[in-house]
Amino acid sequence: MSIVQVLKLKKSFGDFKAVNEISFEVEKGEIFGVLGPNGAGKSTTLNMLATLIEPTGGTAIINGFDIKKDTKKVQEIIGLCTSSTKFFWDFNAIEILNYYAMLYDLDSGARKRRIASLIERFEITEFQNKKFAELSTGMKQKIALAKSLINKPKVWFLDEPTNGLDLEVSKTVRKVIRDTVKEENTTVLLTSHHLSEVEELSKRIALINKGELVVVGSIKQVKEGLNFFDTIHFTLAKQSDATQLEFIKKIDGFEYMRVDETRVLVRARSPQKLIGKLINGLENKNVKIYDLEIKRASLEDAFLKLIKGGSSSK
Amino acid sequence: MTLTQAKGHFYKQYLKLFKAAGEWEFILVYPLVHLFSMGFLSAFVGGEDSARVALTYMFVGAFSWNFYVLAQKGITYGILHEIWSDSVKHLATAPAGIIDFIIGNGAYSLLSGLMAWLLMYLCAKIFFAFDIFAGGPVIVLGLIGLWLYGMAEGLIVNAIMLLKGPEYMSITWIITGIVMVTSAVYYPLSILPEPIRTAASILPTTHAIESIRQAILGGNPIAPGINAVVLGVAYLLVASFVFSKSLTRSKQNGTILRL
Ligand SMILES: Nc1ncnc2c1ncn2[C@@H]1O[C@H](COP(=O)(O)OP(=O)(O)O)[C@@H](O)[C@H]1O
Ligand SMILES: [Mg+2]
Repeated sequence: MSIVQVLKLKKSFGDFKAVNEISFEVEKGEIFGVLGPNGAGKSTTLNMLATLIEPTGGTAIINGFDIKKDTKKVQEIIGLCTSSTKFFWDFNAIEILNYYAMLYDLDSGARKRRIASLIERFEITEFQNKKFAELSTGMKQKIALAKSLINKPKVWFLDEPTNGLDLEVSKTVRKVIRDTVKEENTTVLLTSHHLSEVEELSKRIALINKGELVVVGSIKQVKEGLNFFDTIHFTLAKQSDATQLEFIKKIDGFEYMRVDETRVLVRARSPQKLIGKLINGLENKNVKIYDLEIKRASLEDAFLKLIKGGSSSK
Repeated sequence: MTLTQAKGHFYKQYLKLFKAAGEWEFILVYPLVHLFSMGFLSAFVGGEDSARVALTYMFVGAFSWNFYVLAQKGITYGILHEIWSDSVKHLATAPAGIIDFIIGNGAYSLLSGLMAWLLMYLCAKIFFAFDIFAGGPVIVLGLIGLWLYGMAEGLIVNAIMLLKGPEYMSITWIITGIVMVTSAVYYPLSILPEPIRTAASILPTTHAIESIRQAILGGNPIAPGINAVVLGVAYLLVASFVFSKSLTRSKQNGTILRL
């Protein structure tokens, strides 16, 4: 069941089209990644879904509620967290969480329980009485994440939530995202330019560029859609053996080969299947190799390719 | 709209009172500066009897003025604190509505206004033998008028800030300046030239202050008091509408992202 349906969503700032009629759906309980280069329109999309700004055209349905018509209903069931989130600098974590818990209409008992559980989950206890201004970036972001979960949202919007955080805090944040999805059956819409992060967390993604939806689907589909496959690398013992490699091109699933002195790169649709035949062939031809490895096509590469494609088509 | 959500707004302002030193300026410093300078000024002008009447005018003006400014400030700072701390987006995506905002911040306006009044009452009584409550409970009408109008003005300033940015906060001082001169805060309405007197008659502050004055001087406080409340309600309704439209506009053209 789709819990979020984005329907031809569009946002213009003056004449500038920041988001141009994009549509996609997010399934209940998944962590959906929204990827794209800087200025692609990721934040604008999330801000519209989170009711911070109004769409110029189109709409979205979140858990059955229209973001334009049932704005308040939507607000009650979503949470938004961005990077470098700020709060009253002279309030401490407890005060910040209490304030928002009230704005989300949690009664005093519910506030106490929810805040206690968030403080535990995000390990806020040791700095819970310190002013926001005195906290480290990581601590601030933990409070921001906790605040965005104050109402136990059904849909949790995370706009580059680990941006500017050190590796360890980023890891904690990713763990909390996964745990929350499991424990509270939350659906997540996450933007990030740490592509490895999206690969780690999401199964399905949407790629957007210059306000346009480029592709949406599973990470595997997206890689294939962009013609980006895993690669096999090995080194020849003798450079003269390079002439013996033609047979590789005839193996099923072969896409591309490059020989650079003794280094060989083979790109294939499914290298795991191709590699047996490749090794057999090399043995038959008595070609000696070493350093054989399969490099998985990272989303990063696919993404860079996309951006390059985007800018060259100008 | 719920009580808890309105309480959220109040809670924020209440905490700010104990955290931001600047908050006390409006509750302690300005009211007392007004009170003492007016007190000494009226001791300086006129003979015994007329000095007493002048003192009443000036003190009613100082009491009313500070009450209205605090009402306005409570509403304006409800947004301004958020703008200063770059946290408007949390407010703009929370399911608390405009009515919650007005009730919560308005309650704080009232609290801060009453705190200033208590302080001014004690000082006026002790140092100048002046009792603002001498006119009896009827001054509540004037106070409500001032409160409602102060909130309405705060909402208009908020509406401007949402569309233009927090620099436009200074509009407040222009509006309050005009209101101070026009609504005959420190002198009888009859002193004003005719065109200004007409403008004065549509301001709730004029009627509110007149009502409080009449209560103390033994005139008729009821009619101006009712005018003040009725006009105050009307201004607040219009201002709430304007504020709500401006919030929508700000979400449409994206200015809310840049606050
Ligand atoms: N409030 C705004 N006013 C005008 N232009 C904006 C505003 N917000 C974003 N933009 C523009 O819209 C485009 C998309 O921005 P954004 O959604 O923030 O991109 P991303 O998050 O993918 O980096 C950018 O070119 C940006 O300059
Ligand atoms: Mg962004």
